[in-house]
Amino acid sequence: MARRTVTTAAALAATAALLLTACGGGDDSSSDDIKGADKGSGSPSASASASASADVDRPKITLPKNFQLTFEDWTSSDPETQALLTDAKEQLRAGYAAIIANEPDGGEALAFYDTRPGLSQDQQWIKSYTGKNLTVFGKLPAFDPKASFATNKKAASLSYCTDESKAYSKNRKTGDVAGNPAGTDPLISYNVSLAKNAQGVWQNLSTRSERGACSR
Amino acid sequence: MTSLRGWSSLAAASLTSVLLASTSAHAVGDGGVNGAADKDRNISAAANQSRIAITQVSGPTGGERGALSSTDVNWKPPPCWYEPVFTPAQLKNFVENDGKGDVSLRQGWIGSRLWTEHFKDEKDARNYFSAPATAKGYKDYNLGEDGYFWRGVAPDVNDVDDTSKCGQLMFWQDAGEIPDVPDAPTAKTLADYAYDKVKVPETEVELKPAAESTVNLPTWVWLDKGTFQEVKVRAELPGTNLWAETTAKPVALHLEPGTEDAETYPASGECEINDDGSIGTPYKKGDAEQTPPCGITYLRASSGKPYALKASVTWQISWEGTGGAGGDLPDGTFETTQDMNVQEIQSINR
Repeated sequence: MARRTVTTAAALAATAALLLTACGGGDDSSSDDIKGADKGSGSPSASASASASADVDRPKITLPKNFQLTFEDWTSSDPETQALLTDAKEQLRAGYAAIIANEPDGGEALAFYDTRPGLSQDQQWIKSYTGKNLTVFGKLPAFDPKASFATNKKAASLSYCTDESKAYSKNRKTGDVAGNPAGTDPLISYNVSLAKNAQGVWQNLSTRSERGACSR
Repeated sequence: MTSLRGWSSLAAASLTSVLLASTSAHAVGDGGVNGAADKDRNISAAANQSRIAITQVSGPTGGERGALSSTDVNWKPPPCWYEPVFTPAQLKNFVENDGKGDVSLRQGWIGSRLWTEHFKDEKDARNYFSAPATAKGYKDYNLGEDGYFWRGVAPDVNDVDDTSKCGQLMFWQDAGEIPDVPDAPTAKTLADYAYDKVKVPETEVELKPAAESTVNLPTWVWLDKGTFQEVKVRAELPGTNLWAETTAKPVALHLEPGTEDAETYPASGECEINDDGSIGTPYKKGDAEQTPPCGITYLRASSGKPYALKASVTWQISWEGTGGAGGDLPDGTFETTQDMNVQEIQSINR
């Protein structure tokens, strides 16, 4: 239950120096040996300026009307935090879009919003649905986002909660519908790590979750 | 799809016994939860699972027991630290038979290829959250060398506000050495960790009259000697020589009658623990109108709903550990509530 408030107060003065080290780091997050991961990888020589994020041609992600993935209080007065929240939101939408489109590889949009390790993990998650012929529908609110940035502002942690009490899976063949199992807490706490790529897009590095660690 | 099932048992068998209470794998309906530390992922290399081994050295091990609450609300155990996780052979086994686990506190690598590139085939990797920015690749998991791969551990990563803490990618350290990095574990880390693991007995005090108290007549409160003993817990971090023993010693019993209409003895409600470990004095026949060294007089009947008598024991916490280190930790308390029925007796006349 020990959830904290956003700590965005990174030492801005230190940012310039740290950016240099970050650029020399040999970010391999965009390697392409994972199927579907070759989109949106970006050229390593591109500018890493924060303003670039607005210029990037982001994929359009569409979810069907019968799956309402909503984001409550997903706003921040801090532009950096807002950029993080927006990209993390699109990443989650892309993941569910892949489940609904029956794309075990995650599809182009998820590849855009994931690092290579992030996509590898998400593919395993997506396959936990597609491998069983499942799609999803219903309502899935995400809420209570809290962000904290690494001092160089190139990596960040984002925690949030989801309420799965009105979200369901449906078997594409049999039509069987399953909801949150009786007796299990429908609230799930997520802790997501993200890294900003050369285009200024916040990409998912890793996702961790724990059931029952949220309250509403 | 063939490889999705069954990987967890492979790795779990060969590694330190890190067993998770398997939470339900269900998420939306019958699908999985992304990143859940359940059977879908991370049993072996889970960054929320410490390898610190806890054993109780002394004190009661049975009966109703519970964890202490620190009296210093600002005190918290360390949110994270580094631990040795794999020997070279263990890492190789994990990578090649499982390959789904946490490579840093904030990063899972799901897939053997991600691991082999860095730990077998010498490919550098990015340290996103901690210095150095580039983690140099390893050759063949450092097989043949004596030491461990270390990684950050946090019982709850949401408690780690500062993303630079404990964030390095899994890194090598020669055997017998503690890494020279921030958040490296110390004996104090283990002592702090053990604080939460100290289980003290419930404070079920002896009361006389036992079943029902009477208005204006003192209720004697006591505990026989031997009820409260020191509780000592030892914490060891395998792969290091680090250890700490954290000792909780009961020092006082505090009574809260559960109503304003009551007096406590002593007035502060603090009953000292006697030298022999007992508290107060057992009631003896004929003591009914004496003032007990530790007790309560209720001034009003409980009329149907019993008062909730709170008895909390204060525990003084000290520790000692590797290399003669040691000191005190904040006092802890453990509280028990007992129902008190208080009846009206008109004939009492003092």
